[in-house]
Amino acid sequence: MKLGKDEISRLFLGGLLVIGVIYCYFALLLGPLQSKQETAEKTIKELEPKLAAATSVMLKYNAAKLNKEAVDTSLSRINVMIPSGSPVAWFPPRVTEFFKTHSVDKASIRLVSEVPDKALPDYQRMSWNVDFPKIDFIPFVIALAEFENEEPLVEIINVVIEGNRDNVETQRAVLTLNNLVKK
Amino acid sequence: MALRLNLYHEIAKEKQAKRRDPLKLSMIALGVIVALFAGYYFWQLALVSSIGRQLEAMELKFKADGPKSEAAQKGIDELAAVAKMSDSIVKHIEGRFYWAPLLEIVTRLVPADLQITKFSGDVQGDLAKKGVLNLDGISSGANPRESAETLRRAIEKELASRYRAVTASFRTLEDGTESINVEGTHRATAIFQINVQFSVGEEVAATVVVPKKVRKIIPGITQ
Repeated sequence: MKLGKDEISRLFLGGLLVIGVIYCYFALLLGPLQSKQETAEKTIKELEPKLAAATSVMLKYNAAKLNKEAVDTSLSRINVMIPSGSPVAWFPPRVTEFFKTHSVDKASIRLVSEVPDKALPDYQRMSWNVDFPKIDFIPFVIALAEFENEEPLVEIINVVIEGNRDNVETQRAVLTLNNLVKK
Repeated sequence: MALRLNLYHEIAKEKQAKRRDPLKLSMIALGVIVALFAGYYFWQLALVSSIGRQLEAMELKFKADGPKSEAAQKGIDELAAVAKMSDSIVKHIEGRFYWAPLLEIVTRLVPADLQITKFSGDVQGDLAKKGVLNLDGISSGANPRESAETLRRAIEKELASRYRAVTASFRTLEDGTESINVEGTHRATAIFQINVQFSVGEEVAATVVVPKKVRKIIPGITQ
């Protein structure tokens, strides 16, 4: 079959039209669609870990809330042991009274220092010096054992016990102790 | 043989030519291609819109969960701080050093021919505590120095079963200038001071000492 000049020009024009249509199809229809898809997929990929992290944080929070009760109970038990008011007002009488009930009569207490504790922002350590000018060693140690057991927020860091020069039957004891109090 | 004449050959030829018209055939082919392209486009469109819906749902969820998770994180931090504080206090309480048992040990170990004139002790530290005791005393008997030595060994042995790194040593051990009268017999005395060191509480991890870079000293070159 031989094509005429007119037919060849028609075929050429037809070919051009097809190429144009294909270009428009890919460039104007499929192209934006694909870029939209890519953007959406990229955003989904970015969102997925964020959503997973948010979910995990909320789950952790729920788990932590369950533990909160135990922590609150523990803290409230500790706080109950600390009377309100200035420690200088309540701590020395408390110690004196305790040892008095254990037959250790005289005790003089003075505040040495107040140190904030980095690990415990709501609390501070108060250091006290307790002087017992006249003690009987054995009853004193028994009283000390009870004091250590009954006062969990008090830690004795220094103990000096020496014989009294004027009365060899008795001793003198000096304790340095740290007490944890609320700020 | 009968002769058959096709009087419509021109019409048939025209029909055949019409059926094999390249323009018509190409239009059909083009139509099929266009239909395929359109189908693919709509399929892609459906896919993209489904992804878009998924994204929209996720964005909505994140919008709702984002502030909640931020608040939850804040809550976690607060709870963690409270838990840490509670834990620190519990550790502080549980890690306290108890003096009464130590005094009981010392009392039990001191024999009748020996007297402690001064007891001083110091225990410092948060979790790993270092303890120092000083026992000043006077011993008497046939061999007062040996009595003091027996006490030192007994203290070291007994405390080693309770505490770590216990060392007991004499700071001083001297013959006393005075003798004492026990039940009518004069006894020689010795004055001693025992120093006891020990560790208690959590063990501290050994510090890693990073060796300093060794400088090469080349003779003749001042550094």
